[in-house]
Amino acid sequence: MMFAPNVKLALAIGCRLREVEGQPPILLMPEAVVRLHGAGAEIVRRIGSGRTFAELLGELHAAFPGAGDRLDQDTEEFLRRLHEKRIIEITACTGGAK
Amino acid sequence: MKAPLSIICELTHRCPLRCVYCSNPLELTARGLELTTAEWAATMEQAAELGILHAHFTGGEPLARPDLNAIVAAARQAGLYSNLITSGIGMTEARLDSLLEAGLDHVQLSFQGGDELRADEIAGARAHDHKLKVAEWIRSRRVAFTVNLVVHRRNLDELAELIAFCASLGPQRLEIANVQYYGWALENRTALMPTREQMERSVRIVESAKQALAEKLRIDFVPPDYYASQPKACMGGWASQTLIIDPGGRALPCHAAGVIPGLNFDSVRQKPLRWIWTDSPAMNQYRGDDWMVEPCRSCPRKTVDFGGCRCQAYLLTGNATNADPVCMLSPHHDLVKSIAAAETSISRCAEADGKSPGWVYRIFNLSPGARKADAPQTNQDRTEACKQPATA
Repeated sequence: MMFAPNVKLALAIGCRLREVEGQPPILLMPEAVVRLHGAGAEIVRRIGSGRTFAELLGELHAAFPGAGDRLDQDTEEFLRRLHEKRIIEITACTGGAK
Repeated sequence: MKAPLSIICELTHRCPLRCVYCSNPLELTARGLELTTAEWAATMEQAAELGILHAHFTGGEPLARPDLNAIVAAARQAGLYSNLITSGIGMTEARLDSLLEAGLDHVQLSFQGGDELRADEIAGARAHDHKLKVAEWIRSRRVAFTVNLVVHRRNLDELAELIAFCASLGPQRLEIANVQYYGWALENRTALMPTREQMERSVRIVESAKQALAEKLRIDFVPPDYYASQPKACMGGWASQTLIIDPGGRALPCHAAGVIPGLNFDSVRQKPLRWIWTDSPAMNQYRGDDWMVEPCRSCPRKTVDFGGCRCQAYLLTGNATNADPVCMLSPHHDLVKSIAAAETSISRCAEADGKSPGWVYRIFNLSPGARKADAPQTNQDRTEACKQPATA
């Protein structure tokens, strides 16, 4: 099931993205290092300062207009993998009337 | 030569605790010989330039350095991810906040047990109570938090309760580390060596806890190797993933390598870090497989475990090029089995007689040979020595 559009995404405590000039960015966390490439790098860069799922998709579609329909699904799958590895926090939005 | 992932910075060998399992060498570096703030800052720059990503600040007790903030700031400035490996002694709330402001990414806090009495006996000082406060401060700040629990004969029977206790402190990670027998731990091996039954039971308990706590807590378990039949891939290979700088600036491939005779380890005071890592004879001594003798030389696992640990091979067989005797293919493997059996048998007899362990508490030696002369000689002395409150 797809994430709700307003779930909040953030890098997990202690996870920091390090940009290295001329190289793919690196995700740093306790006892681990994850080298990011291509789409993964673009996704994690945008989560860095907090986004909702909808905001993230919006920005990705704007940055990659040719990406098409698969982008939403692929992004969500990637986010789930990051969440499993405790790299990101996903918080359901609570409260507030529509 | 590929850069290491991490640099472990032993900022000082001073420490208010006297843990009986300490992996520091028996010869501890005197305060007057410690690298200065500027020297550490320069080392952080060189580390980043070499391609290192993680800096671990440890010791001794890194909080014993009043310039710790400056060193952490230098690491952050250089782009390194900083980890503080601490007993918590010397930490205050204000100090924690200033370290976070300096850019500290991660705090690993040690616990020696789940209750004051037993924890403080292992630490050789009254520390447990303060650690509880430090844990609460860390938990309430937005910083990565790991609890490190060292396990051994004296506490493995309470492992399930200890895991629950550590989880209650609120870390994201729990590191359960079986004692490795180097440094002070080797001196106390008789009292620390678990039985095979304890070891096997602990593996089951950890598996069960990993499943039960999967969502809440990540558990990393370092199993004891004396009961293994294949050796650990020590440090991920000699001078491969990690580099250690001791308090005087000496670069080592691991905590224990100073025991191996005939190796001259260079200091960052004298040589550039890049040269030390890439070209120094000592760092290259056990890289690759040219140095290997049989059975490692023609073993298909040599690229998996690298023949095990050089330091352990030296300590147990007298020759650092031998296979780590933990390996079942080592001609010295029976030695490891008989040590484990002998140590646990001695412990069992002592326990049956109601004797407390004759701990050798970690103390500073002032000159070579002083430790043996001045160390407490009787069990009573050793036990009394631990009842001092810890001060940073």
